[in-house]
Amino acid sequence: MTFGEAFPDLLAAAKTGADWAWEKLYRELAGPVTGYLAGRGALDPEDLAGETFLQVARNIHAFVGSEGSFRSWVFVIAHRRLIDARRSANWRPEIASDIDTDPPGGDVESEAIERLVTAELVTAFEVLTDDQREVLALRVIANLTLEETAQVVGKNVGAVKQLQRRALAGIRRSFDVEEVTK
Amino acid sequence: MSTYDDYIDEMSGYDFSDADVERLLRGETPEHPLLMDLTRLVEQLRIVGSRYPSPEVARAQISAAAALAREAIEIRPRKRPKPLSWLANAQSRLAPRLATALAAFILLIGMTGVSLASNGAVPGDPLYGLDMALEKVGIMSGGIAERVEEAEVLLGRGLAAQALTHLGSASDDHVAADALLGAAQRLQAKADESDSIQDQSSVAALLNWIATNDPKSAGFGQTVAEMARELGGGKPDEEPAGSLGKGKANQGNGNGKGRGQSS
Repeated sequence: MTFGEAFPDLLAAAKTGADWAWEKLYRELAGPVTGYLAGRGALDPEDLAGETFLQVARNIHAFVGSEGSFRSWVFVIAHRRLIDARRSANWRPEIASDIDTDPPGGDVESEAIERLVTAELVTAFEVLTDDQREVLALRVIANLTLEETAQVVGKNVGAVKQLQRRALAGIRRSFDVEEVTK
Repeated sequence: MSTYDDYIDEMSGYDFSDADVERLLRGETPEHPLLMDLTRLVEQLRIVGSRYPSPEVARAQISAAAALAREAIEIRPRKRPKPLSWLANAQSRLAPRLATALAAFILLIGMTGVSLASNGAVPGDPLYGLDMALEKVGIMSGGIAERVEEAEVLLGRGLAAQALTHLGSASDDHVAADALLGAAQRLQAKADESDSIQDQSSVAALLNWIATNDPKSAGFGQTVAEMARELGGGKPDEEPAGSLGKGKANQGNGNGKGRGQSS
């Protein structure tokens, strides 16, 4: 995150409901939260990101902690909202299939690029377990540290390291298999 | 490596070190040749993380979140009064002459409720006059902590200048008061709103500093004055007419927090 020393004041202002503070928090986190939810296969990532921020707003008065903890906390909420949404939609673990069909508003060129990007990602992620996808999404899309990721997924740092190492090995192996079968 | 899968990875050349994996995930070039091929994939993942909701959706979600946080903070301090059902039962058993005493008691409870409600009021709210009156007669707490809370509510409503005016009017230290009122005037007079977020952030930093430092500590008022003078484009050494000597910047109670925390 980029707030640095300004974070305590920003948090205090957000607790009072100051619009400017929420705008700053939102602008910092909305992209990673929406991307994380999309990367984890949420049917409507924007909607779920909105629900995540509302939940953060409801409980922010009770939050005490550092900037890193705040970021982890937001993703814990996003993670839980995702699980709830999956349960209610009887979701089965597929990859972010919505990304290539319903990109966010923008110009046609960037939407086309995003479709190509996500098509490659879908292929790469197909070989991973759900835990491995979760860890990669949190580390890269959400840009969380090892410790923050461990907090979100409820595992220790060693387990997270192992999951990400195996995820990358799995993807790399699938690339090799693909080349052999071509 | 402790598991069979890790053993297989090691035997087949996919034994990436944690340091190398971290390099890749940070966006740097890894050393392992097989990991190098994954840099493009990581870049693509980062693109997914830059998805930003449309401006309309963003505006709506920001407003909703801010409103919900305000609602939560307004509801939270209110203590729900205890159920008074026992009073009704008691009333049925009491002699008529005790009814007068009960009525007085109920009136007192009602007044207490109004008092508590007025305690959360800020300048401009209908109950704020009552809040101040009750403080003067010693019924409500008052004090700088409450003034800061009220200023935070005003700031939350986007009224940074009024927050400073409110704080300045309540300050016992006339150097700090002059500086706060001067800052309020500067913010009020500013036609350009392009840096209003910066101003609000600076006011929030000032309020946070006041809330977390002891008002009785040496140099408290002077530091507040110094911080206030820098608000709204003011000069740090600007000394308002009629005030006492210059304060020392960053003086406080030594808790390590000082000015310049705004983003």
